[in-house]
Amino acid sequence: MLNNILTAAGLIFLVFGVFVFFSAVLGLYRFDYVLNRMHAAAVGDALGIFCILVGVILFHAPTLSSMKALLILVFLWITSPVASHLIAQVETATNPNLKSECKVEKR
Amino acid sequence: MGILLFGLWVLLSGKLGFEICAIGAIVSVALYILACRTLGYSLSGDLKALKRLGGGVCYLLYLLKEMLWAGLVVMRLIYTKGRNMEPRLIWFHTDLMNDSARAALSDAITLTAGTITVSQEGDLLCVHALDTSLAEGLEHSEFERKLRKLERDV
Repeated sequence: MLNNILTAAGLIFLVFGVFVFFSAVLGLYRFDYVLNRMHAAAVGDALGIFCILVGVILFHAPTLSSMKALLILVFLWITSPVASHLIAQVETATNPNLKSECKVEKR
Repeated sequence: MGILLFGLWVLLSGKLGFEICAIGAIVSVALYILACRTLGYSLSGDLKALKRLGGGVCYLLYLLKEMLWAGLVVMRLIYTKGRNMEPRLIWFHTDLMNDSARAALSDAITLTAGTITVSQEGDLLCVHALDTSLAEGLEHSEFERKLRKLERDV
């Protein structure tokens, strides 16, 4: 009984995760500038990965090896902001028409 | 840190047993001693970090909640606004004094979809926000308040 509930919950998370990734890919087409597109990709990085890996954990629960998926989550969330930060920094440093793409303000 | 290393060992082993725990304990202690001698870790430092564990866990749970919520908000924007976004590049100062706290703030901003930290020079942060609604209150965020509280507890 418990296994059935966990499998059903895992399936819901997996399906929603796939939908999140579909939305992220759609966002890449809907947005028109590299920095905006990065936000769409970030949806997959945060919410998509979370849903897929929680789904995987629930499918294989309750085993210790399923918890390894948590490590994947932790390492992905540690490394992905660094990559995003570098891409964004390169874009802002090299794009001479930045002000036409987004409003710059100081607070 | 030794306990964390031991936990990692058990997690990567994938099963619990006397042999795994015994070898894991020996390897963890050896690595911890090595870390103390070469990387500047110390037992007193770890005990101090242990005192901040509650605040740290609260911060991480709040970060997780914000990440998931921001993901849903950006998903909604993808379907509703598309190319009609009003992106902003915002420069603001942070009150955080500690370098690691500033790095944690930058990471938190980037991890929440809709905002990306573009650069950080001293206390000056440059953040790209996907839409005006996501840029509101960026300079006085809850992340900053929680990190400031953690910083004070050091």
